[in-house]
Amino acid sequence: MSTAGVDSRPAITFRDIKKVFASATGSVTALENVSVDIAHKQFTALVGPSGCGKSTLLHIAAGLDTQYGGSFMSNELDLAHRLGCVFQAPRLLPWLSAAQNVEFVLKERGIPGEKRSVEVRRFLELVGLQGFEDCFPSQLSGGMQQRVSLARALAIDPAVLLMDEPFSALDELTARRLRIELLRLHAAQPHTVLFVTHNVTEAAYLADRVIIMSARPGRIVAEIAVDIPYPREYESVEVAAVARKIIDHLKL
Amino acid sequence: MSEISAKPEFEQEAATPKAEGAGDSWRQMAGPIALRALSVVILLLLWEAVSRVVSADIVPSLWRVVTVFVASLDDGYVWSDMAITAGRVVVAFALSMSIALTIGMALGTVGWFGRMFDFWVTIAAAVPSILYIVVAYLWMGLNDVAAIAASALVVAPSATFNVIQGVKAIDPGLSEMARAFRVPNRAILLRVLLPQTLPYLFAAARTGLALTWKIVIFVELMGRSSGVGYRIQYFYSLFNMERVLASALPFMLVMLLIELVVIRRLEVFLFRWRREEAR
Repeated sequence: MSTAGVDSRPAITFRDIKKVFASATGSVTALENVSVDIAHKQFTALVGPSGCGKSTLLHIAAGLDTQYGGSFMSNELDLAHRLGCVFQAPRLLPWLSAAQNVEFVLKERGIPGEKRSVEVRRFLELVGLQGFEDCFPSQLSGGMQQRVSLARALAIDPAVLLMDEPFSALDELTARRLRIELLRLHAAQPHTVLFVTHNVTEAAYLADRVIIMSARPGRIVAEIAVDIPYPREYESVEVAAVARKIIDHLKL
Repeated sequence: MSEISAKPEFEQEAATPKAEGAGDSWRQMAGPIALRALSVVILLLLWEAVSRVVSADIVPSLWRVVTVFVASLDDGYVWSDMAITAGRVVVAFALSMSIALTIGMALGTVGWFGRMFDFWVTIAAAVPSILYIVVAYLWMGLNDVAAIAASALVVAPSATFNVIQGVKAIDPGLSEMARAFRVPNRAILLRVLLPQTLPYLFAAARTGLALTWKIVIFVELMGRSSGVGYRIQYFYSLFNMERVLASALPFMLVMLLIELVVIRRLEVFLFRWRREEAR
């Protein structure tokens, strides 16, 4: 899907990122010398063992972490207000319905009420939740809650979609269904996606490009361009071969 | 993947059915209400039976108490007593909640402060109510300020615990989500943080109010010359059982109704999103 991009400049750029966590027992270097360009409208997966700082990198992009060395830049206009985040847990406000949860992030952007409810409906339908608009999160299954979370991220018209292991807390069948959906949505309207995961097959299946990181200190050890055409098959030999390559780079 | 489905299906993801019809919920409600009514009838019959066995001076019959109450309406003190007591309850309740909110928020949010001083709240809760009342009257004299201060101090500690719990129940993940979506701080406070603590604040208010009116009556009995508590004390000194009951029961009924009808309903409505989780 790399051909979908019209802008040849990277959407976001990490340059010489260094992150040190100070603790009582001493300091831990979470990220060292991390430089990476995330291409416009491309699906980039960030893979690595736990503790490699991949989530920290996402936090830096999301503006949730400002204490780091190096620089984070973007060619997108007003990136700070156009970040769609999907977390590992759905992180929905439990007292709001599915529709109200999506509306919540739109409201604070000054989008007028009429247009807001149209958008909310549109994006919930897009993730397959028509008819569930008025359900509270507690009435929805884990997979459906994560769909709401995805609708919320898409609804703000994100310049960059940041996804932090969004399917790792779901059961495998639900995760598989959501991966198919995510690719369907990405094919229909490509976004710049930065997708963090520790699931190598998931990375190989979803991404145009896989960035592999090592732990302690977190560093980029390899980059793989995945040129299997979409739609892909999760169990296909091609996906398995790319997954194998990722594992080799991780030295597992 | 052989084909990309245009519309997702939900076989794998079971959804809880949407709220059942109103008719069903009425039928579900009617049973418990009938049982509740029956239990009240049994209680009143039991009262009547006991009053017939024991001397009426000790346990006056219900009918007698109602008659005495109606007769006492002519004396003109009944409504003014209730109004005065209600006024003290409202002020004492507001004061205790303000104390609980201020101290609870401080103890719950500032880590070292909480670890250092939350034991004080435990101690404050362990002080017998009577001690607060006596000390307040001794320090400030037999006046309304002392009465209200004493009532508020009795109620505040347990309410403070509720507030601390509420602050600690805040999920940092939700705040992080809101910050990632660039929700302004004011909206995070009002629409993300406050609703999370609201069930606990509500619990603090509900149990606080129930405790406040009982304490206020006691405080009045100890040192005020007006209000429902004073009236109970007055008829007690005359050994008039009928009038003790006729003074106490009406106010009790009013408070019980407020608790059962207004507060319970409000709670069910406000926290309907929580009740769903119980299913």
